[in-house]
Amino acid sequence: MNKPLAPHIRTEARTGHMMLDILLAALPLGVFSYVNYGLRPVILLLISMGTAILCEALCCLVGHRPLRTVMDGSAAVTGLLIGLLMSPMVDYWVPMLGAAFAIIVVKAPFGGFGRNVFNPAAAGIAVLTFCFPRRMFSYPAISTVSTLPLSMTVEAGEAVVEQSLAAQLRAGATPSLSKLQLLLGDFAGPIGATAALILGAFIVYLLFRRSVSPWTVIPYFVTCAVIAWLFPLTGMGRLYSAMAQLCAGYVLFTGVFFLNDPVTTPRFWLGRLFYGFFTAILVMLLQRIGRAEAGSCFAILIMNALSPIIDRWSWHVWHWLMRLRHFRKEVKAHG
Amino acid sequence: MAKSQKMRRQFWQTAHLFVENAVSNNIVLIQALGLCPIIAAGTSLKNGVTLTACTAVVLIPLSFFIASVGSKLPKWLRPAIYVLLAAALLLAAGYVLGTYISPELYAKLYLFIPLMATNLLYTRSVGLSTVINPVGTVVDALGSTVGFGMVICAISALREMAISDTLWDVPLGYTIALPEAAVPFTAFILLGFMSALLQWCRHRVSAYFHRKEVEEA
Amino acid sequence: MRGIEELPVPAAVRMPVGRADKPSPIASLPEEAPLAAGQVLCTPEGDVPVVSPISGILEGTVVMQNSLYGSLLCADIQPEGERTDLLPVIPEDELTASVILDIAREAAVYDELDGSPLWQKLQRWQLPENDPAAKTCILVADATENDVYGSSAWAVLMEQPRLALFGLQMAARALRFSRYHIATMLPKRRRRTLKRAIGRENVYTVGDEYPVTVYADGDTEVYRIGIQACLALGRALKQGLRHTAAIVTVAGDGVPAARNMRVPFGTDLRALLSACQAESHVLPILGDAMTGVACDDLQTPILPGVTTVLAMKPRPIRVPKPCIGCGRCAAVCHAGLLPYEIVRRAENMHYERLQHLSPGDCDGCAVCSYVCPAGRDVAAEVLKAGETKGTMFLNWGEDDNE
Repeated sequence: MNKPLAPHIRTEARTGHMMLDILLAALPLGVFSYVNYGLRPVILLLISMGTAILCEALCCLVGHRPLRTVMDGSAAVTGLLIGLLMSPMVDYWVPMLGAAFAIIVVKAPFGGFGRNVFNPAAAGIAVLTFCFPRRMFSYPAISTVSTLPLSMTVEAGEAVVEQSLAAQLRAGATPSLSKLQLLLGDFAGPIGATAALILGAFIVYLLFRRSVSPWTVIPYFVTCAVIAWLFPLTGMGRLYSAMAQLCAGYVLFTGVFFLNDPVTTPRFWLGRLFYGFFTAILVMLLQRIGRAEAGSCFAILIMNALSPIIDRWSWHVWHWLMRLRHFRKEVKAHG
Repeated sequence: MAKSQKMRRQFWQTAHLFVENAVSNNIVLIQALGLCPIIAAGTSLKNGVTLTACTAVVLIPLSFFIASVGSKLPKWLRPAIYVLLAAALLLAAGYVLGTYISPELYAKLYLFIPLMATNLLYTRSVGLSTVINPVGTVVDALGSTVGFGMVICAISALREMAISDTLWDVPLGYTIALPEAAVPFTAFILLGFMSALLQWCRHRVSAYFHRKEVEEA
Repeated sequence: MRGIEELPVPAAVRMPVGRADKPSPIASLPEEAPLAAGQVLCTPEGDVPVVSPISGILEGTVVMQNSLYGSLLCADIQPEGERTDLLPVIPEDELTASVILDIAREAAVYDELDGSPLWQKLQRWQLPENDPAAKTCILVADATENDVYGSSAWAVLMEQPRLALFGLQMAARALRFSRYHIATMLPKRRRRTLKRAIGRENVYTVGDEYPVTVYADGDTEVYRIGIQACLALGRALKQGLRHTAAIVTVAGDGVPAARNMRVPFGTDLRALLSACQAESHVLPILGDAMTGVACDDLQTPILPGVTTVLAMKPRPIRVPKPCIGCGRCAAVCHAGLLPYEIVRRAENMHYERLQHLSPGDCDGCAVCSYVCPAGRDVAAEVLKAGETKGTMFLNWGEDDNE
């Protein structure tokens, strides 16, 4: 006898809806990159998502799980995030490799969606960063190309390679961009990580839809902004330096996507607050030092490993504080 | 009759020791011993074969020694003596390698060979060797060596193919050139997947025997 | 909001009188004896009397197997006539604490919050005379009805507020409490009407939340009884009527309109649902939508403690998806627990580390199951974890060789 358990009414929210919310980001960012670079970045995104879904299906078959689980959308989100962090002129096989690594090595062996310890997309990007730094971090200059060729490899003469904003800041150079250009994402960079306005609008949308928790997002952005404000780069104004630091690399992208993967973040609100805070510090630190040009992925992976501990400890701290308050009240009432 | 039966049983017991360490309860993949040389030095097939040879040269005589003398030594002294002897043997092996076989290989591995002395792969049999008979100990050591050798050769071959597109320094005629395969995390991932594969095989085999038992009963 | 309707007289009423494995306690009553509504059938020792809920003829006893209550020995009563058996009415100024307790027992007043006799509760909570604690304790008549479907408590409040308040006052007198009020979350306009009828100081408005955790202001010890029990006590004291019927909301998507019905105890679900024109293939749920129990046995009698019956169209049971860790269950838990972590540890059989998370604090309000976007039965798992109390042994056995 299979009787439904209480409660007999359920909320309308579904995990699938949360994934769909994230996938919605692909639309404006895809259009943005289409306008800038032509069809190539769109194909990159599709290839990346397709590979991720295929690998997930493969893992389902191997693990004797129903193929229906592919439809929960998590694999598509992983593929999308990897695609969004590609350079528009990267070879097509690079995002495929990243997505395959993310699903087959980082996600499936841990038990699939809901049980993975590390964010698969961040791990995929980290591996690609590690293995192919030159391919990953050579970006076409946005002002010189209207459309990139669709061939497997973009040859040296077909696009003008420009140093990315993060690389310029690391090298100590002063970028020649206006503040408006920074906001609009009108500079060389990954497909989906430069458009600050779109990303900002999207995070507001996600907060409004309650697909993400404000407890991680707000501490993260506030801490990032404070650090960027307190430690300006030499040779530019304080405001400009702060803006440039926030727009460079994956800082915004991390706050919008990687930070809000519910599986790998703490679940208690206090733990989320700590998580956002410490991730921001690590991201800003790795942005300035370290081997890789964009260190956010490594920051996220490090914090992923710590997040269960942060979660549990924060709950215990909170519980202990509550008990202390209760105890004090009792003492006050009864002497 | 009884004698031959007993001998047969002993033979199978000894064979079981070998197979267990080499395959079914693989020393690296299941018992997770001897990981450091694989991860740090297992980047080319030549390295792998050399380390396997070193292991064989050290482990087998040592096991025999400890099985015959070990029970007479005080318990607390056994590991120390064992490590010292292993280090001495390894130094000798390194010397032979560097002088007579291949100086350039020794130049690559000079750091790792003495370090192997502290490897748990060796010290593990200190406890075992006083329990089983000397022949059993030697077979156990042989099984360990084969198990370790198979894993390190497989992993180092794969990594060599990825790093320099060669196998045993012979070009294979394609280009991936992924020098990052030399970093430890690739070895960890490969080990993890190989371990999972072995566990899966074990599970299938044991399920097969279980079913057979049920059918017979 | 709807008023209270009378249920059409059912074909038969089966009033449970005892357990099936014991000898019948009503054997002394003659066969086909005429019964008056409220007539005492039997009085189990140390318990409230069992009274006939309707006026009728005793047909004998039947044993009923029920999926919820187990096997019950029921008196089978055919309705007939309109006789009523009354208690003597005692003037108000002669009602002392012990007299009220006696009448609460004689009148078989049940508390609908948990279905236990009101008399037992009052006896347990009663303070000795001139106890200083009387100032810090407060008796609350719970008419919150914070479930989305239920409205029976509001109907009671709107229909006979003075009598309910009188019952509450008398219950407070029996407990020797000096403070009491009715807690409700009625809509604003009706609240004003209610306050005009029984006085502003007797009505306390609770917050619009589920579950309600604050029933009174300040640092007070709250004792709760149901509003229907207050009304039943008031009726017994003022009119001499025994507690023979429950006021039940019948709602859900399987009935054309939600209604509040006065249902004699022992009426079966089938009679109640057909009186409300429920569709034929509904799944009845005893209790509110958040904590009710699905009950497909239409023979189940309505007993004290039932205030809502939901007739829900059967819907496909959702396959629970893996927990993605959105943390909503922890955010809504009013006990401050970590439901996801409790479930995870129970699933991984880490029973020895379960107790640090105090799963015993869960009161089963089921909000965590409600908000779970993966459709998991979080509350059921947490309750199960709380019940085992970490006494389960770890399963160190071999993997199953399938």
